[in-house]
Amino acid sequence: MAKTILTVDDSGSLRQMVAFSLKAAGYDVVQAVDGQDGLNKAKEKTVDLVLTDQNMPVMDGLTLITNLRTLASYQRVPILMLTTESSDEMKAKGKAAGANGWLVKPFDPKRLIEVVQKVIGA
Amino acid sequence: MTVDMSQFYEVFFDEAEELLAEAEHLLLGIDVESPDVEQLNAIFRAAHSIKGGAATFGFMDMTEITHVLENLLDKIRKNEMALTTEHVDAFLAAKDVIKMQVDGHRHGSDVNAEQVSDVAMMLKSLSEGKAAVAAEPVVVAASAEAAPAATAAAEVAKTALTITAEEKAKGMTLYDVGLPTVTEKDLANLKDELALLGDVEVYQRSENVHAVLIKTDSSADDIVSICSFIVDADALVIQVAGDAASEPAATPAEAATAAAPVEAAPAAEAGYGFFDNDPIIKTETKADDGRVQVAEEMGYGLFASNGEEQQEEGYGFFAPFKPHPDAPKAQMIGDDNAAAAMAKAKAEAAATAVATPAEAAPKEERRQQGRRETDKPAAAQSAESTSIRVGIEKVDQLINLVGELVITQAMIEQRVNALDPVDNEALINSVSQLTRNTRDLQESVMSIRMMPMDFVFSRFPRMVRDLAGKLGKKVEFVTSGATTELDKSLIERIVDPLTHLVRNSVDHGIEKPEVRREMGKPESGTLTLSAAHKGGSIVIEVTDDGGGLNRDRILAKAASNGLPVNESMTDNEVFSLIFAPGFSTAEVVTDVSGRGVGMDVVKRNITSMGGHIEIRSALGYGTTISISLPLTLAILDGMSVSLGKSVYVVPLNLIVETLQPRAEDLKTVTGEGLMVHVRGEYLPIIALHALFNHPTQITTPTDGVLLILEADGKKSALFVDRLVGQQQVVIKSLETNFKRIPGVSGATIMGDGSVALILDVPAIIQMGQTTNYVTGGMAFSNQNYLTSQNTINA
Repeated sequence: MAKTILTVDDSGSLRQMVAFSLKAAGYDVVQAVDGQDGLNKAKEKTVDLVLTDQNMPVMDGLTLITNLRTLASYQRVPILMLTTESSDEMKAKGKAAGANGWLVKPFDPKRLIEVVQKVIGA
Repeated sequence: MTVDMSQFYEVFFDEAEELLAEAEHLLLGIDVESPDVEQLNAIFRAAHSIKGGAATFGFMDMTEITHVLENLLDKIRKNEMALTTEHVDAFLAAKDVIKMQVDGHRHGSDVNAEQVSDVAMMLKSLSEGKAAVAAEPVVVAASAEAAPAATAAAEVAKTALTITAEEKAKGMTLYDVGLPTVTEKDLANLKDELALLGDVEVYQRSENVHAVLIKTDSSADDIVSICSFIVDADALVIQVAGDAASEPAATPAEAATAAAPVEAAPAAEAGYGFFDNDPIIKTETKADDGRVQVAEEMGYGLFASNGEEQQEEGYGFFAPFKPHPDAPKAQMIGDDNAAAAMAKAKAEAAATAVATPAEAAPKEERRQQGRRETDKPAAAQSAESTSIRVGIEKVDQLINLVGELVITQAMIEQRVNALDPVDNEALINSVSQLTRNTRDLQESVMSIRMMPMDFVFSRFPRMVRDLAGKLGKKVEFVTSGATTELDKSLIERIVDPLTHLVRNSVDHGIEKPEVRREMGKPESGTLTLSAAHKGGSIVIEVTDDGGGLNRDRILAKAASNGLPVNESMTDNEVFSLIFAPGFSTAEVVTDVSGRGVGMDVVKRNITSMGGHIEIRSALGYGTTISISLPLTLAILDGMSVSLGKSVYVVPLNLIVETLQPRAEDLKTVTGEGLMVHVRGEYLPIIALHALFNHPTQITTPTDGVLLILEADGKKSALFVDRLVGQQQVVIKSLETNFKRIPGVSGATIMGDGSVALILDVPAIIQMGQTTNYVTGGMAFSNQNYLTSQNTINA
């Protein structure tokens, strides 16, 4: 059974690009349009990896990560931030919230898959 | 794996346009004095999202400008800078430029590079205006600091191009781009192209080997994409000059500075010191090997790369970049194995407090694995593309076919109703099912082409704002009925005439603040744009509370233009003169309007759409220009009524009630004709047979039916023979095939193939008020009606 990845981004084009690339690499993908949606979808089904944008309406990425980490089922699920902002401050915040890593936007699909494979395998 | 990015372009363009429109809307509504943080955030997010998408999909020109825009917005939303109207103007200008770029990429339309750079400059200067304190580089310090860096990045460092710490802090990076062997000409071209990104210097590394130093706030990706027009992008070697990773001798301070331009980091293939020098990792991570591995990957990082931290924090289990043995694996096991998996997972010594609930929770739902399997794709798809693009001709064909289907279906229904209901019960049931389905189908198909007026209205707030600013006027812009739906083709064609009318109202209608004050009006004029369904038409009105039309001046002007006029003309006739070609009463021809072209074009446009335009105006109080458009392609819920041997359709929404009057309720009122007493009200009776001079057997209201109609706040009772039934009808415009007939808004084809006229209720009420049609034998000519019948039947 393919592993499932939750991708959370308010930008439809980026989300679709991510989803498409992940699917092409053989993963199942669940998409969410903001942090709250992501949290809901994450609760519906425990996924194997969460990729989240930071800057989103309703609920931002950091809040999503913090919330996910309060869920028992998400204690050990890897979470990566896909963000344009990779300042030290942002990394510190991401880490504090419970993220496991980050991937700087823009990225190309190849790099995304590389990173994802490193984290959860093919 | 390669992914063709171009497949996402359309989505990105759509998204960018939406975001731009939203940002503009927010900008227009923003209170400069005390801006709402949420609004600023939303605007920032729009710029941010566009930037992200543009960078990902390789539209570097858009990345540049959105980047500057985002920076400035960020400063403002973080309160580092106060919002001013200059900012708002600049943001709006930026929106226009980005829209132009989107159009350029999307449709290949022209992009005015000068305008783009003007706006970028404007944004930059605004951004630096108050925030950048130490913007000027300190020359001495700069060269001292940059020299070793440049040496490290490139063998040869004989260059004047350096980068200061301040510049780095502002997101600038000094890149060293190693080039493959290129011709002189290509080198010159490259230099010119790269100069668009920032300061450029070409130097020679060895014979035939050149390199370029470039100081820019763009990313390495930008450099690659620009270079790729001229040289093979794969042959480029881009390094960050002064980067700590490639310069071990660099001081920690310098390394930290080099880490600042984070946006540049992901792209380049070498020299990304900032992961290595990430102070967070440095301070919190003890083992170095994991870090180095991460750093090589460029553009992403994984926290917690050593074993110690993994145990402490409990989530860094993928340090060797492999799934943790328990949690994720256990979740993939099916329901019958769930218990075993639990035991196994526990046995695997991962029985931490967190792991157990992690598995226990999903166990329940895993009981229905079959269901989950079907649910999952649906969930995944729900967030995917929510719109598709279809050619309009396909939609039109669909609508036509459905129109035919509706008529055929009505015919079948009529035939079936003539059959014995007992013998044919099953058939009748099926047909009534078909009726419902057809109706639903028709509704959905019609709705495809319908668009809310908002598509037109939304462009005006900005235009009015800009115009008012240019003319020194204060205008409050109000819209109503933006959700009123109109056929797409009409929506597109109404834009130009409306733009013209709105512009006219701001320019000529609404007075300058000082004039308004003198006249005792509020300084700020009000311009209202409204849309509403009225009697089977869409009525769009542009209303201003300005000076109104000056009858005398129009007459004088018309006379001097040689138009036939006289003093006894009605106001309506006088106002209509402004639609004559070459007519303008404005004393000052402004650059906004008043050149005397326009109103005639407006009228021609409206007429070509089968609509008509009217002006109501009161000198000193304002003007309303009312455009009424027919609802071509629209469907209507109608009540069919019979009159003699014909059937007419009355729009259902205008019928308040229907009743058969008792003789004692009918009263004749002097000067008003026959009235009916309904629930305490006396309503005038309009006899349709008299109005249309239509032969019928039923001439007394007590033998027929009264439809109580209400339109424009006026009520009347329409006297017809019988009610036939309620049905949805497809409106066919009479005006396109014949001409406008008073009291008739259109026609439709009934189930039996016959043509029924659709009544124009407001017009009928109006007609009933001006003339009493109850007594029969009216002056109303039946010529029109008869001719129209012939035309349709022909």
